[in-house]
Amino acid sequence: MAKSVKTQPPEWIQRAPVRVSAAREMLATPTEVFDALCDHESWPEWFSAIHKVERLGEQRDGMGSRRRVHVNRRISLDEEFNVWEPGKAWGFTVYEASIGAFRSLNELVEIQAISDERTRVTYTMGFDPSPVFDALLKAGGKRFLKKNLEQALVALSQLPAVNFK
Amino acid sequence: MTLFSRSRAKRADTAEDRDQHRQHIPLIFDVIGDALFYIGVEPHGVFRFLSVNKPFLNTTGLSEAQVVGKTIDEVIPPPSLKTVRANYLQAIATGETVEWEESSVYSGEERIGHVAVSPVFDPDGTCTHLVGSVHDITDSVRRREELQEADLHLREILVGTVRALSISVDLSDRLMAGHQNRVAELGRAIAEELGYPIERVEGIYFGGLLHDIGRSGIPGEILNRSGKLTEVEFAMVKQHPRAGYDTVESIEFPWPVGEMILHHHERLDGSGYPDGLRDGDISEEAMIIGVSDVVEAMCSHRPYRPALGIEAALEEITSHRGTLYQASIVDACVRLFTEKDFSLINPDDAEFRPIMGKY
Repeated sequence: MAKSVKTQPPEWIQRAPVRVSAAREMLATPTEVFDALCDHESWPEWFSAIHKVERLGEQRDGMGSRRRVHVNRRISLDEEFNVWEPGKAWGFTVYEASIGAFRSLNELVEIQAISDERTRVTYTMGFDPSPVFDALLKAGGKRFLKKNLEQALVALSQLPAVNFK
Repeated sequence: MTLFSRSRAKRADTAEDRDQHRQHIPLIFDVIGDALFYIGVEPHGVFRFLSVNKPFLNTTGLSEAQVVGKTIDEVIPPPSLKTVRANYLQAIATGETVEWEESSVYSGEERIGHVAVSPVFDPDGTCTHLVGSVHDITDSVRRREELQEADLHLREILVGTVRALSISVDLSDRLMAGHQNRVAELGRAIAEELGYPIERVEGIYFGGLLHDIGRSGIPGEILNRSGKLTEVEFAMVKQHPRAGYDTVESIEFPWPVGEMILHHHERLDGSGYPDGLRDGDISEEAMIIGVSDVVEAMCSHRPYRPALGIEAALEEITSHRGTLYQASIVDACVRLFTEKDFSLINPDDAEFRPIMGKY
């Protein structure tokens, strides 16, 4: 049974009760990184915690577009994009989930050009977790998520579409 | 308020939440790679496993039937049980995550885990559940132990080398035999009396063992001369701290041994050598070696004079307390001899005595 999740505006991530973040420099341009993020179907190739991503609704891209992320066969999150600035930032708020682990969840990817060929990518997850999930995050879950984010960014930087040079 | 209750300002679980958790915890658990467990907190200090994930079962070698529904007393081996229970109670009492390292034998194999446990409270502030993780650190602990063992081995080699160097100086200068050993012992005792940490005490001991290594470059006929040295000869003798420093400069000691050797003849008022340093520029280590050197030398025979004795030695350092020698070091040295029965190894014994003790 799907659980409603309270959507949040983009700036909420700055004051989310729990934040997990990872950053990495990549040999790519901001546009290339942004395009890789927008290629939803390819996410499982670089984000190992994700099993499958499908677009929802008729709007394929941009603010207000939606997608469903399957973490595994029984956990899925429905996300609506509330940040869509090509080459700069990309983010969403979760509006429905198959599990009641959190009351709100926003994610934001900030893309910053360092030079003509190098880009710094910062991926932040902001949660308002349920008490049990909060306890789990404190008891090692946060470390796991951070490691997962770091690994995802490494894999993203190695995608042929990103690591073009 | 009971042991498992506390005032909670934070949001807590509702009955609906808990019902969902029963269904969702296993799903979330299977996403996370660490061993995870979800424990129900029951009255009378009973902790019961409600859910665990596959990594937990893999780590412990237990089956789900052997864990889920069982109390911790039935699952956790007795040597760890007391610690586990105490940490669970601490997490409940403080409302905070408690972390510790734990070693347990499961299925005949010892595993070491970094355990973290966080409490979950209901709206009344009663702790209903504990959520925990076990991050298997067995391999990293083993590697750390191997590195410590290798470090210990290297340290033994270093100690052996320092002692060999010290002996070689004694062999080349028979009349000074045992001097460095005795200075090292006194320096160590002064450092301990001053309350230095063990690592610093250790450094002073090794600095003492090598402080006169530069003397090996001075001709024996000068060192063993019973008459007065010429100005040129004395200038040569005064070069021994620099020569000693140059000798050990390339050795990466974990202590400032080279500096101790170079400055053990420096004095607070700038009258020492080779650089004429003053208070503030001389390390305490070098000053401890310096005081120990003076006391030992005055208590020992020299070609040009008989031993003067400990009373004269203590009189010498006391009369120059705060001018040549740092006051606290002088005081510590005097206390050792007058109040703590410290005595130097027999200075008449020309044989090098192996240093037995904690190092």
